[in-house]
Amino acid sequence: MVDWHPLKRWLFTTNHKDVGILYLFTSLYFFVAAGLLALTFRTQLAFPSSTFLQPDEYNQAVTTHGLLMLLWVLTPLGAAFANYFVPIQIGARDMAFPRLNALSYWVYLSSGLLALSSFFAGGGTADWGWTTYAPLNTVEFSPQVGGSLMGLALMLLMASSIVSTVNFLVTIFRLRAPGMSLMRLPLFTWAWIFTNLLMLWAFPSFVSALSLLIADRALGTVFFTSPQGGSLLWDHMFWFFGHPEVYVLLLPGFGIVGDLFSTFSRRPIYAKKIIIPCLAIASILSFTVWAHHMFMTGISQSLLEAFNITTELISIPFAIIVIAYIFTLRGGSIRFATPMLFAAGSLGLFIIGGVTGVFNSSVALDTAFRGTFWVVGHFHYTIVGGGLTGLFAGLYYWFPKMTGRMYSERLGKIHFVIYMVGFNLLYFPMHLLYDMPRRIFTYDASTGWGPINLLITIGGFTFGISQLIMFGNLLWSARRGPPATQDPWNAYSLEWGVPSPPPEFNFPEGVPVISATGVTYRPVSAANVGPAMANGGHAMANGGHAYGGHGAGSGEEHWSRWPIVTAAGAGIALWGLLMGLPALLLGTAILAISFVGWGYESLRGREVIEAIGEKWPFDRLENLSLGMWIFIFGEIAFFGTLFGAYVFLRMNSPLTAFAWPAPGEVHNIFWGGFNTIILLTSGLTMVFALTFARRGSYRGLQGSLVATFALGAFFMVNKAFEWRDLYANGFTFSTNTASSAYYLLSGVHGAHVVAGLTALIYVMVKALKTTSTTEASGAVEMFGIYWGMVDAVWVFLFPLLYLL
Amino acid sequence: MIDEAKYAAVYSILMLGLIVELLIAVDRSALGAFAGVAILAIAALQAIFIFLVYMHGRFGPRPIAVFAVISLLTVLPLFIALLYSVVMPHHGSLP
Repeated sequence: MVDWHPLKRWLFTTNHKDVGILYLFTSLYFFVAAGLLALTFRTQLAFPSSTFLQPDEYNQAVTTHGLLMLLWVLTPLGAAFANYFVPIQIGARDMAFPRLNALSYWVYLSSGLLALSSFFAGGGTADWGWTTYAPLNTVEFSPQVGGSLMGLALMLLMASSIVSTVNFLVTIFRLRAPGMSLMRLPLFTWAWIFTNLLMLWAFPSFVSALSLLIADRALGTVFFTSPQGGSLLWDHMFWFFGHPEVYVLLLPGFGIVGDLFSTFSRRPIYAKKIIIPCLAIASILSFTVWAHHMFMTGISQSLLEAFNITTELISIPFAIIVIAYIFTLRGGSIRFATPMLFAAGSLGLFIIGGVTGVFNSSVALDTAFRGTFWVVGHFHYTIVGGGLTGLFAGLYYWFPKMTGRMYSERLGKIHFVIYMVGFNLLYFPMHLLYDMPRRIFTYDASTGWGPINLLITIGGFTFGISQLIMFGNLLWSARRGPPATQDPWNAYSLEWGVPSPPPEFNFPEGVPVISATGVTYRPVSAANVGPAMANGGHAMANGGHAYGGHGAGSGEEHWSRWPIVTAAGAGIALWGLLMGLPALLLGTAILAISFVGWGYESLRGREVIEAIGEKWPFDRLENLSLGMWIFIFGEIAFFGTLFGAYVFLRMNSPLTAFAWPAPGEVHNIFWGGFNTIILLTSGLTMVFALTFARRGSYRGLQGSLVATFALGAFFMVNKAFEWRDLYANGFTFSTNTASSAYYLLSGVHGAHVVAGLTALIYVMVKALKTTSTTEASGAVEMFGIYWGMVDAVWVFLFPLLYLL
Repeated sequence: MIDEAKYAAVYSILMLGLIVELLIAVDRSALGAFAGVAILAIAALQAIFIFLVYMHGRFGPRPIAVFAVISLLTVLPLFIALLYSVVMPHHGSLP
């Protein structure tokens, strides 16, 4: 009889530590894939006039390497540690939304497989470079369907990241243990907060840009092929995401380095109260520097000067943090174990990357360096040196905690030495190639670049081989290494207060209570669980796996099959969108089944992870409501970027001799106005629904919800008729920029309405099945916030599309 | 009944705003060049009412408003840069 239990555990788990392990293995898998691609194109560049790769193959390898490393390796590797350790570091039992956490992982995997599948879609994958510059990203220059698949994979990945962001922010803000004030959080958790805020506000802008791109490629809109939009619009939208993304990659490793400096020098972090504001300032400034990637695009001189200044400013908070880290070591008793070596190495490499970055902030120098291997060297020192090396420090640091076994210190140190030699052989000589264009697949021997390129390639292979030592060491040690103690590093954060590896349910002794003198554990009683279990879930001290609950349970009751099913459905549907109707129908059917299953599972009642400790600054909100609000903040960035693009197109029209249709010329103003009345009325019925729910009026609640659904559906039917008439009159996706903008904006809003109506079905069923209206009020409240956002977006869209 | 009255009042304000928007759009001569600005200002007011009364007033405490404003501020630089990129003269392409 085959025991399927272990397999089912990994497929259906919602435990944050299991999800962390899944992220770890998957991100390292993509690391190997992206690394092999890098070695492939480095082999091509090792010698002049090489024919190892054809131009298209070279472009595809470079593009996929960049996208995989940045988006499917570095951020998820940080997420692996965050999933595993942030809940423990803050003293929580699990993530706020365990099923959503599993969903984030499976959607991430699904997106990665979709990205890799694009290689086999016929014609190869995306070949436009990781920056996806227009017009290279358009069908004219990249007609292969694999490019569009890569775009959809990126969209899916962004969705996964945003869901994860919402989950982490609610968890950290609401689920801290008693006494775990924000200032007591370890630097890694702090860095993860800022990483998530950056993802929350930057990633939606990339989703906006990708929406336009995919519409251009799949529907024939003209955002990036028309003079009104073109490459400049893509550059702004992409880099507005792209530069904060640099800090998304950097900050997790940076936080780990800070904690490790403290642990391995046995000194408290120097000036932690200054480091945290510096992280905040750097995060804020990261939204004001993106156009330093656009110094060559011809934007106005005043913009160049402004971005030159902001780019130099952002180096100040990082310089302060670096100095504080170095001061942490002063007077300490430093132990150079492998994690500390990688942490110190990370800081050193980051400093080199930071210094070369200051060169690039200068418009004059950037004019010379932009598009050369100097820039490639600079950003690898920053991202690989500062980001990946710091994450590897974390991997060695937390390995004993995750596996309960020690790794080989000797092999760890050998890995470090070869890693550093390989890294510097690989990336430092790139600075010497400041005259070699970075986007060429071969070069002539007469250029004199051959010897340096050969050296770089040797460095690349050395760097790659060094990782084999790490993999071998960790895989062997996970099974055969000597047992690790609970706290082998004499570290201070909460994860070192639980056994190695941690029990399935965190803190079996009870709720950790943090004070200036240390950590004590408080048994959970029904009295301090609070009223959270009114939602059909199991109380933490009442049959659920509480703090102090079932320390050795199998956890099966926490499993859910729907996250993996939803992710599979999404992946297959998106693949089918471009590859064929059968796959599209299959994926859609799986998605529909998963939504029903997900809703049914919720209605049966699942355990609710509720806040019983520190909740500042969101004391007055429930987890669900805060989660929805955080999602709305991301939506503000999403629609804000779309509106920005729309304004750009409108303002650019007269300069490019395009006459934007006058109000009433294409659209029927009164039809739009009528639809506006319908949607705003649905907003009114929605707030009435919550009022009735809280007042205990069944009939009022159900009537209001049905009215909201009917009005929302009527809005969509009207919209469908309007689209049909416009299309019949020749106003199609590709007619001009105005038509493209109209269909995209109203279509994206319509998709939000449809998603809302789908969720509303769940709310209505919940309202029908509950025995008291107050039980349904949580779901009604959450949906009300969403529906308010849908209304608020439309009150801008209506005048923009119909009246102006 | 106070809640219902409040929501109905806001709904009336939203409808009034919509009517004024339509009137301005139909006859722009009264406001001339300011017609567009006036319409957008009304839309902004409508959104603020929805946020404060339908969403925030009912569901959210002050930190939510702070985060919402920060969310708006994050996209503000992009708006400015996009506008600047169009309005200000380009310096031309570089070698």
